[in-house]
Amino acid sequence: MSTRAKVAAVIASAGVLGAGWAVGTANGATVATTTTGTTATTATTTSGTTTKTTSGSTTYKDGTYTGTTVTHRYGSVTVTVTISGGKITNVSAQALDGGDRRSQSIDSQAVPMMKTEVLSANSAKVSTISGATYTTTAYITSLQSALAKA
Amino acid sequence: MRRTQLVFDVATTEAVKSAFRELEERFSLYREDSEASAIGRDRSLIRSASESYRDMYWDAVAWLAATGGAFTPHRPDGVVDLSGVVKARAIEAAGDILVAHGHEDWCLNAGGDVLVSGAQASGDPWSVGIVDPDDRGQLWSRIDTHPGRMAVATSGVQERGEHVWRMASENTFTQVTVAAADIETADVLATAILGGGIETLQLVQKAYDIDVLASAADGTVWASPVFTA
Repeated sequence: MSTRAKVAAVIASAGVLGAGWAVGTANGATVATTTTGTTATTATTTSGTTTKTTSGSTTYKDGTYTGTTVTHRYGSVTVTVTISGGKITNVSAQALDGGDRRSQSIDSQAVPMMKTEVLSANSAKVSTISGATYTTTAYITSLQSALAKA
Repeated sequence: MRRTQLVFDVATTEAVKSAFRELEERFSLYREDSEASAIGRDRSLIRSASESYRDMYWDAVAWLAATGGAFTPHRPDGVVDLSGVVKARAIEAAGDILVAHGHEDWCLNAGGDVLVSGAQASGDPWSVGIVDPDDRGQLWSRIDTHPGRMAVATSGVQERGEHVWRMASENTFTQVTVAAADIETADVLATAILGGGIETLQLVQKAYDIDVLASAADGTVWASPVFTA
């Protein structure tokens, strides 16, 4: 997953927490911004990194920073940011369940990308196929008969 | 290469058939004599519906609330259509029967919706291929199953025409695959995201532990990290 995608995923999630994150792209570099003033019910993430960054010109100090754990209605989340060469090179988040099923690691959230960036599949190695309402059986049968000839 | 086919014993097969028949007889809108058809003709009958009908109905209504209305049991023409949850419940019932009959490792595929248990004979996890929305003769991606992802469901507008009632006017997604721990969550959320678009995707993926692979009409895709690893 690209750094930008991770940033986007973290930002998207942080949005839920109401922690006031925003992301922008400037000169090809992805820059994360966070505002300090959050509501009384939520804490601000990334205490170590950042407090304010404006569009693109600010460089961060290299290192890995782990933010404070933010509690939200479904559990809690801790964000870690790695800075290298003054830029964010990695953002990861660890989410903890609040004990109910409506909670997940934000690392599994879907983000937009090009179709070709998606993992491709080797048709001979799948057990079954999802999505092919009418074609599943025919497809597998056809594939297997082709392999039998190979 | 020989084609291997898993054959269950007669008792198991009969139990699955019987469970499907029971659901079909009660919930099919294609059968004039079903309870669902009777309620479809006269909605007031819902008040005196059977316990299993009411149970299914409230289940569908709970999903309506959970998806912000993107999944709904109410057709635009007013008919109550529970098929969105009945199909998943049928697959789940089949799975429960297989387990009850001592079968631990299996892979069920009902119209493109997949539920698995255990692993392949080789010990490898079941691997579920996902069809290419732009060329149904091709595979696009895949996901390996594990305890939190034993069910994979795909909803698409090309499979059976525009069968999903759309909340948004724009045709945002053309195909949506959801992997979850259970088939009802996977199936309902795939349908909801297809119908409700990006807004619904963002709503449900914050609330549920799922992986999503969705294809938009403009060529953009939305993918959880498991689909890019």
